Amino acid sequence: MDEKTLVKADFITSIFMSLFGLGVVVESWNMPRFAEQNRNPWTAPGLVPGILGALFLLIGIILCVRSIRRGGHHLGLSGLTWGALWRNKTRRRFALAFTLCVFYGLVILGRMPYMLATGLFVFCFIAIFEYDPAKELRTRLRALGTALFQAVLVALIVGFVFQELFLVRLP
Amino acid sequence: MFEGLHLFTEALLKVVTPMAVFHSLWSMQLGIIVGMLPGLTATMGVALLTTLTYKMAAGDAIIVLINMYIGAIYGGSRSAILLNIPGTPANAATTLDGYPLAQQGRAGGAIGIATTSSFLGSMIGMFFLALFTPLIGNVALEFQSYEYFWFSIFGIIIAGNLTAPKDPLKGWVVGFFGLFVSTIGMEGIHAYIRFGFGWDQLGGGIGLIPSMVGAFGFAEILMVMQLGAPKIVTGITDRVIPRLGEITKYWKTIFRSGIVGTFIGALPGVGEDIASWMSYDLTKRASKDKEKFGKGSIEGLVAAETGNNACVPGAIIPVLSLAIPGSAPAAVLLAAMFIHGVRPGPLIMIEFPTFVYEVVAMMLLANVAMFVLGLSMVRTLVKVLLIPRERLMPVVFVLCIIGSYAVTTRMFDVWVMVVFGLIGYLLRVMEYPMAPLILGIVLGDIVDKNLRRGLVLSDGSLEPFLTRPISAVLVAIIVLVILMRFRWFRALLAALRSMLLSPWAALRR
Repeated sequence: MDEKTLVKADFITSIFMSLFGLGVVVESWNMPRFAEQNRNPWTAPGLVPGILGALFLLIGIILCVRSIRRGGHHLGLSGLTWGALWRNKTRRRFALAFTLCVFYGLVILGRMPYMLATGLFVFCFIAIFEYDPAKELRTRLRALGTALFQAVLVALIVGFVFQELFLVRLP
Repeated sequence: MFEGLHLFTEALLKVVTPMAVFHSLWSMQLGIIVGMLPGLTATMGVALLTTLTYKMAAGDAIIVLINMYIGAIYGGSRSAILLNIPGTPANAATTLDGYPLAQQGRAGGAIGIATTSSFLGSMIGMFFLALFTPLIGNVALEFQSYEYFWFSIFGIIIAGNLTAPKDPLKGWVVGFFGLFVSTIGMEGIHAYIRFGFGWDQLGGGIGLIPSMVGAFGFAEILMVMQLGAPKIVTGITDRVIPRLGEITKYWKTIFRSGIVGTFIGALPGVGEDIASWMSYDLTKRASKDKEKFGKGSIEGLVAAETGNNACVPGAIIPVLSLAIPGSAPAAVLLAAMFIHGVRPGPLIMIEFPTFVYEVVAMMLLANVAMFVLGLSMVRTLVKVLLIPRERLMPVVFVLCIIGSYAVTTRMFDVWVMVVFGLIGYLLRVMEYPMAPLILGIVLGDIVDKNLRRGLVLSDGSLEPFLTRPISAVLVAIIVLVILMRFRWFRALLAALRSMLLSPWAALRR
């Protein structure tokens, strides 16, 4: 990340950090102190989180002031569009990889047999990243074929090795 | 000293069995492959193998994990030399001279020197592991709640400082966030559930393994997938095995980097990347051929690889003596030891007196395996680097899921892994370091319990926290490290220094 964008990111992070710190302090203050059970007040569960929350609040304010001094509060969001974000190749690759992984880990896993879910994920991941519509049909079909072959291989090998050899339960 | 040697010999005879050699060889080779592949780190390798070795005997499991750790730290030098991309952060300094050497047609020689340097660094660290662990363990027996509290805070502060030298505040806040994460769930004194918000799963706390796999595994996958395919220096055409003279010529560098690497490893949470950079930097300053550094200096390569591998045994010193990890992979190793019923800490020399020497014996086995495997099959293994990341990363993510799920078989841990992966990615993009986060999660329980216990013992007074000898030293170092980031304090120190030195300078004139 370049210096200018980093300063803007620091500004946004500092706001979240300060609010987070404040929330932690409030939540820690509301935790019981077990005084009615004659417990020592220094053992209160909210002591350490409360101190940490105060530290987040303090550091958040320091970071906020520092980033404002460096002009980080001029976010320049008016020119930003979803199209511009999507056209950036790095961000597009990140978004695709993240979506596929989250879809596998949080949506389909546990809702269908493990080997099927894993095979589907590996196939989609490789196919989406390697498929190039600009290339000729034979190359495209070969890419899909390789993706399918690897997907089946990974699903079978991983499933077998972990479940049968290492006796690890899989989702 | 002779008793130590006797215990080490006994441990060696106990540890080195045919099964142990087998485990050492396969896990070392796997470690080298893990380290070679950008996107797979030593931390992730050790975390994933912790799951695999869950059902193994404790001794075999720890051999496997130590081999993976050492192998991955060493293996990253291959991609650093051939791709100019460090396989693990520990090998970043290796790219500076390793890749130029490869471009000069000396890739094989560079790999051979990296292997030998890593072996020697690890052996130096191993010596200090055997020497200092019992000593530090004995000192740590004097620790009470106050010292444990301050030592943990010292770890966070120093880790934040060294892993984020441009902006230590970011390192510290990440460490504090790690401490906060450890407070989620049932606390250890009243069994009260903190930050559960009525959700049972959250009440069980955030596991170390899933958070580490997320922060170091999934985050790494996302970083790697953003980038295009790297260009590999094809073909290793020169000799791999180095000549003896090529190594002995740099004996001072090897000793210096070995000691620096071990010392850095012993500092909580700091890790192999800092060890490697510090060794490289100190060697460059001391070198007569400074101008060669960054252009294919063998001395630079030796320094980087000796330093990062010496850090591995160094990081295990506080693991065994204090139950505090010296690096992120050491944190996983610590968790694995607890899973297998070993209790590292000051009492280890009383409860498991031979265990320290058994670990040293395991390290010796691992070092020999690294040396042998590192110098063989070099040309074959290079082909692994040609695997496109689009085909490798989904397999890595599948392993991340298994690594997170298998220990407690909760889908919640998979969600934790995904969330920490996103957090880790964002932190990395915004130049926050990762190591203090994991250190914070590991040390959080120590900080929490010992602060409260200490305040109960002192009836709310801060006096013992500040006046007990070891506590006072730790507080002084913490305050000094924090103040050193302020320009006015550095100016004040410089003024004081010139004021004190000027009479001496006048006398010499």
